[in-house]
Amino acid sequence: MNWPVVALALYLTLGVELGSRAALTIAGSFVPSLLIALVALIAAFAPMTAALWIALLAGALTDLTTPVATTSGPTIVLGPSAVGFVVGTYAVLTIRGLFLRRHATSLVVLAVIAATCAGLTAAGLLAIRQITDSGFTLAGPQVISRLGSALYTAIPAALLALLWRRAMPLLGLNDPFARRWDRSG
Amino acid sequence: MNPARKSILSGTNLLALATGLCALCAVAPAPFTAWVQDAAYPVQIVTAPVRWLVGQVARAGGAGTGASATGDAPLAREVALLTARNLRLAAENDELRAQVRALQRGAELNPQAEAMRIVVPVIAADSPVASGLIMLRTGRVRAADGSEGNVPLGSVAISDAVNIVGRVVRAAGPVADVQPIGQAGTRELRATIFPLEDRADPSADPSADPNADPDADPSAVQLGVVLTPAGQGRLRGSVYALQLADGQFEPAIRTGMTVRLTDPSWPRAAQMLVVGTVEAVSRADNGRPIVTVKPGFDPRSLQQVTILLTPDSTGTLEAPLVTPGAQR
Repeated sequence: MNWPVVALALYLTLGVELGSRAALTIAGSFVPSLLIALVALIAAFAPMTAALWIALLAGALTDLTTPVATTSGPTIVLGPSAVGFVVGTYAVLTIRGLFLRRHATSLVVLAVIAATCAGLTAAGLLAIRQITDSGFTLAGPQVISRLGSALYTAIPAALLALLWRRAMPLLGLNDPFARRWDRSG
Repeated sequence: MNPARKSILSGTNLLALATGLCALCAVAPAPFTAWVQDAAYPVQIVTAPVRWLVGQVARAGGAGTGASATGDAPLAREVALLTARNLRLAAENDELRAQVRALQRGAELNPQAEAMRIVVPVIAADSPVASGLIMLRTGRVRAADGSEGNVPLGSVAISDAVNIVGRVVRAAGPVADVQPIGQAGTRELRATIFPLEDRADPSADPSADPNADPDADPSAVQLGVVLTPAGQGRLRGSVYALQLADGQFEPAIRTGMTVRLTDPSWPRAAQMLVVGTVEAVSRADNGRPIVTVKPGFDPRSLQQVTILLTPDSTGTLEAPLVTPGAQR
């Protein structure tokens, strides 16, 4: 794993996501997550512990840059995306063996699965927060918008997946299928 | 190293611990997680350059979608360019005329509107799905006594000289966040519709309303409205008669009417600035009109805003609201 390049990729992806979020919002409530798409693609090939650390870091960065809309105003909540990204990445790590990971479609499906798990986990944690914190009331519904956003994430994930084969060596990720071909050759 | 100690400090255990702490932060009540608000600013400042760059590209892309291809012949291209330039100048002219009228109208209605204004660039606007916050590059603000500090919380951001964008809800160092009006989670907003205002506009079509009194004072008829966020950046609220001149009945509300701020919890300098225009009118069960108001700005296309720095900016966010009955 080439950590400086991974950190740079996370930084740039986060910046692009934050800058383009308003322009990419559709139907008033669906917005794709470029960062979870990147994290899911990394998780498809990276070692388990490294992938989970990256997910936690990316989720925490998302939390710190994306205030949650509440009835008392926007509030920074550290945790929902961080834990959500870890759960989503763990789901990818669990099922990645079932997929032909060199195929772009497989990567897109893995990204959508990760985004769905992350979104539902975040929505669940925010729902718990509403119970534990009397002054915290979400300004809008979460589950539907997060599920729709997870599906919408398929589009940026597809773009990333198309570039992925070229990006993997830069990120220091190994493609097990490529190694197998090299040995047979 | 002791094997037992090594196992405790292993990457997996630390990861589990960090994830658990994040989960705890997510569900802990606000007093225990207040430090998170401060911790967020360095991250937001570090990501601001890329965010700004992408925001500029996104805005440029949005503005370019309406461009049409010109012909191949040089003459035809020249004609098309001149036509486009002419149309752009005409549009700018109309816009400036409208701004002058709106400014004159606002100053006439609120002669005490004095505030120091600073024009600041927009870094990026968050999605309405999330917080909808608009991040500004404000820099440090120099006060009258020479001291420097952040933009005061509660300062009002406006666009196109008259359209209210929102209020500053967070400020740290060189950046500040504005919460737009109409965004879910914002407080209710008190405003006034001036049904006769458009008639006072000399360029307005006098035949639009056959019952219009050409000598009527446009401020003589005012309809109050308490607006709350209605989704999609819009505001909605029930209308009540605020002030009717003698012998006048509550006039009909039409789409396109101007809605101006008359909220005592906002700074004085922002009073009578434009909240938006009436987009739709419906009736409640009790017969009262309910208006949907479209703000006069688009957060996705904002490139810069003007911040009104007023002495009464700070602390007015939590000022008590006046009930509709108290203003009657």
